[in-house]
Amino acid sequence: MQIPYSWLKDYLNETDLEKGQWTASKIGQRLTASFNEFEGVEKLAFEFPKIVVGQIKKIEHHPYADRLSIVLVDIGVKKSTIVCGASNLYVGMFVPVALPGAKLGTDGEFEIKVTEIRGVRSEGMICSAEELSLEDKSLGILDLGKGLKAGVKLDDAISFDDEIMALTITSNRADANNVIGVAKEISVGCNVRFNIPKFNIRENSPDKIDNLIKIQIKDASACRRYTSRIIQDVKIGESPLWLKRRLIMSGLRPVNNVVDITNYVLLEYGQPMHAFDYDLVIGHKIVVRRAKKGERIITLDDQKVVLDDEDLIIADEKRPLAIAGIIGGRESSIMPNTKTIVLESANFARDLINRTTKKHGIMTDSSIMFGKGIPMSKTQQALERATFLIQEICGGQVVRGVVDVRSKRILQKEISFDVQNLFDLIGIEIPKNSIKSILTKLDFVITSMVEDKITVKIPDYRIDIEYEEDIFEEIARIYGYDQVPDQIFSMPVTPARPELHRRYKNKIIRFYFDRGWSEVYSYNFTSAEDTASFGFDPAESFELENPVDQTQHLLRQSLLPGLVHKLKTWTTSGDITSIFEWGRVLNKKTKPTEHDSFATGFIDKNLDSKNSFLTVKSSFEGMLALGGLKISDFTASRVIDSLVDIDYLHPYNSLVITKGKKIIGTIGVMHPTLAEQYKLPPQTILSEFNLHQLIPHFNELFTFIEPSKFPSSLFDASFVVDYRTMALDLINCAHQVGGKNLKRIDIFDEYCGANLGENKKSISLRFEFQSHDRTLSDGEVEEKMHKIFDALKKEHAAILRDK
Amino acid sequence: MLSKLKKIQSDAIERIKQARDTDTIEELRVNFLGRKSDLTEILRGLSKLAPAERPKIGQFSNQVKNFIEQAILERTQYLRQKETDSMLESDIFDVSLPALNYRPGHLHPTTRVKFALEDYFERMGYMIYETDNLTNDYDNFVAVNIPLDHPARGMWDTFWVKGELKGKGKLCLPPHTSCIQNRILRENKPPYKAVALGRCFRYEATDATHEHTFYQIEGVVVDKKLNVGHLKKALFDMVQFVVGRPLPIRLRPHYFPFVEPGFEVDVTCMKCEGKGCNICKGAGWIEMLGAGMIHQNVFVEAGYKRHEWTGFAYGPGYDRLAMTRYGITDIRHNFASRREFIEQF
Repeated sequence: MQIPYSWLKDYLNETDLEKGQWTASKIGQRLTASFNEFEGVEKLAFEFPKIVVGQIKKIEHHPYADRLSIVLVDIGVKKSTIVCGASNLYVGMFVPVALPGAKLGTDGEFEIKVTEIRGVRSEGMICSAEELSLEDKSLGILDLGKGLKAGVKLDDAISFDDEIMALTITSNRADANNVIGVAKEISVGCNVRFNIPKFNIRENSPDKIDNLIKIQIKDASACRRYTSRIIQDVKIGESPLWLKRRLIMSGLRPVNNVVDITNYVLLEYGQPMHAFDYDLVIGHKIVVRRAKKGERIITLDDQKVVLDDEDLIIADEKRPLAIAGIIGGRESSIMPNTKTIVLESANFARDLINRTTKKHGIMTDSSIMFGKGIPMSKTQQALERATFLIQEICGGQVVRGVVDVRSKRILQKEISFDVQNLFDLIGIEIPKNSIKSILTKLDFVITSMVEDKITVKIPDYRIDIEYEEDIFEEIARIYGYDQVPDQIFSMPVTPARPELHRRYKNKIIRFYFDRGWSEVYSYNFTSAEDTASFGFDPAESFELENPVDQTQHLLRQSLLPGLVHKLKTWTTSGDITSIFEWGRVLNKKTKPTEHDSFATGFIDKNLDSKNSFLTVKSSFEGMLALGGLKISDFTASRVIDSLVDIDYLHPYNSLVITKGKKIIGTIGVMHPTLAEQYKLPPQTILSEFNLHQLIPHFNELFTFIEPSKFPSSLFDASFVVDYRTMALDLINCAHQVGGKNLKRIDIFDEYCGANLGENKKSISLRFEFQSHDRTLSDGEVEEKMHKIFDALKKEHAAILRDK
Repeated sequence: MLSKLKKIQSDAIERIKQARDTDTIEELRVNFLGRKSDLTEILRGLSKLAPAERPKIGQFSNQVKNFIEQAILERTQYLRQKETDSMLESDIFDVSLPALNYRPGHLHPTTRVKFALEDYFERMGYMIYETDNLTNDYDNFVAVNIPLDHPARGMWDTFWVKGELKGKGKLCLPPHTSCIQNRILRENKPPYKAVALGRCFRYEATDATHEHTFYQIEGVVVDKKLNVGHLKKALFDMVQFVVGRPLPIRLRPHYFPFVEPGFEVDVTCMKCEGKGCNICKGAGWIEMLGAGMIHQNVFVEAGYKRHEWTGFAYGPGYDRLAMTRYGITDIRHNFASRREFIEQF
């Protein structure tokens, strides 16, 4: 919040301020340490070139225009004649005068010139606050107050030469989110006496309030207190400059004197108020009740609101006058001709205000204040303050008496605590007299103090104080956290959490980094289009209720769509792009719904798709080796041969890695149609792994087998097969019939050529046989090889090539 | 005879000197020292000489032999060196060429700081957790002393997700890593210390200093009689580790419903060391994290008896720590993840 320093000083002892050499910024720094964050001191600078203070010397009617006057104004160097249409002028009044050449309007678009108005020469303009862009709407000319000097520059005369202190008040301290609250904190934090200005209300009307109005609360849980006063014969008009100045410096725009006063009291006390036109309250009866379903109100800012039966309203006999604590209705609002006003200062339940605010989307200064909670003691204090100011500024007679309807008094809370607990929590022994003095200054009443046990009464406005720790904080923040010494804690060492998942994930990230991959981050948010394009069902995506971007409303099921967008930007600035991302993905249908995913995207403009794929595969196999695994520990098949639908990959040039029914991951050439859609080259390689499925298979507890002492036999053979056949399938098939002595099979050549026949290729394999207990005979090996040949022929139509 | 020997010596020396390669030297060795050489002849014929001349000639012959051998050795060494030199020069290649089968990889700066923090906390004996991306009202709010309709709920602009988790309320993205406090408290028997790292989300517009997706690390330490002094020391040590220097920190009172007392923690500005500069906007301090002593209501909600245990918690944004560490001033770089950004790390 922003508070003019001069306003705070109204509540602080001047001698103490001087003695402590306190300045606004020094106070601010102290508040940062003892209370809430101080953001800095600002000065509000207004410049009014060619606008001076003038004093009205004579007012005459314009001979040819009823509504205009001819005004003689002393502007220091001379007296000027100015034609003016305002009605609030009087002789002796100090007013802002725009001299010829002055530029008015928000952008200086309106230049003042010497003109003739209805035949009378006018040498400038007498201005309202609106014309000076100080407020939105003025009722008359700005009265600059008394004791000024004609001819001085307006900048100097209405000097905003005050400092604005900017503070962030935390939501628990709603009680202090006002001038008095902050002044109180300054008084305690800076050790300056708190000074309460006195004011007296003159109840100078013959009428008694009870005879003029009836007030009834129908729902005591929603409205705990309702106070009211009536002021007759008020004059609605401009607020005096000092009041306007304080509102402007606090960030508010002046409206008219009554509204300005309620706003002023809101800033000063933190208590929202409302003023009704007495003559517009039908039946002179105010009822605080829940709305009827479908009841309507037009608010001050011209919104039509249809209420429901939870909303609390202020009503007269016939209709809603205001949505309680949020905004007033237009029909009963203060108008320029209002004579008698009914002032409302009430306390509404914060949860109810929050719900109604949210439901109707109406947020006002009042609803924010009530939403944070307001102590009940403020209700009448603010009413009295506002009544006093209205009488001072708007004139009128205050009706005798106050209406104060309230539910039962809330007992002041008491909390007992042991100072030892305070020392234990804060980590320092605070002297008891300091504790006593701090609590007393903060309005806590110490009711008993027996040895280490202290009982205090909580000031009723401190609704944030609930537990002893809350009191400990009060004491410690004023005493100073800088007094607390650093302390080392020690704990018994316990076995580490296993945490294999995170550790392996980090290893995988580092491994890809070592292999020359670069890490990118993208958002969890994605569009239905991207989700569907990659073949994921948007209906299985979790959906945001309040996306920042309406098109990015789904939570990602896969890292790939995001990664592909990154690939696009990366590939414009280099021939090789190899990027990866890790992160959580979500799907409503899977169990669990969330898992860790790892995805890579690869483009090398100088490689074909086969070599691109094999490059990516090398990283993948290396990553498996981290966990002691090989591809052959899983089932690997082309997308087209697998049981799952993977739409984003090329159906043939791709691998789906599975274990049982679980998909571990995919790796392959991006589907050409999708690549075209995203304008990526055909050799784009994508892969994605479910780390929560993969990592549990990682196992570095290797079992060592003593190497065989007997020689191994090698057998090379080439097979002609259909060009779509995978060498891996031949190997798996061979292993099934090769017996336990078939140690390994390596692929040492792959060849395509016209001599092989159409759609054929040759795969050359090296078979290694070895036994642990004897040297294998040629006959044994050949027998096994024949079995293998037969099986390969049967299963894969593999024809053995002549050597 | 003597003059003949002298002649042999001078001839040999002369020709050895002129030899240009080791093959020629080998030939000269045969010519001058071989079995059929004049010198060998003379040595062989010593016995035929008069006994008076024999020792003198013999001695001199051996001297000549040694002399020639020495000359051959020296010349051979010289020529070998020359041959090696020219061989070395003949296959020079450019060692500044790019490494084969190597592309430099790059880690995101936030990941680098994450790894560093994890290393640090592991060494300090902390347990390490990771938070989920989809959480719920209970874990984020109710469990950490922010019941429904609590006015402080406005402090977190939460992304809500359609749907509900039975018993845990509405689904949402975690606005803070405190969503894991209840789980950590329930899963462990005090005393313990743990940190949790993860992505957090706040419903707000993104600009140079605000990002709706960011990272936090949540520290939770529970034991008997922990106090603000312990918290201060733990934070000071962590900050020292991250920024690499022992920079003073300060605690400012602040309000977070899950701690009491609660703090915002400032670290001395790394650039100006507290004097005030454009980075810290003249304050000399940079706001780094929120922290505090765990609220007893949070313990109670996790099934602990009120006042049986104490604890402290803190939650710096580690993407911000990374920005401070590496001098990144626009937070949007993190998720734009452009090549020009990532390839600097």
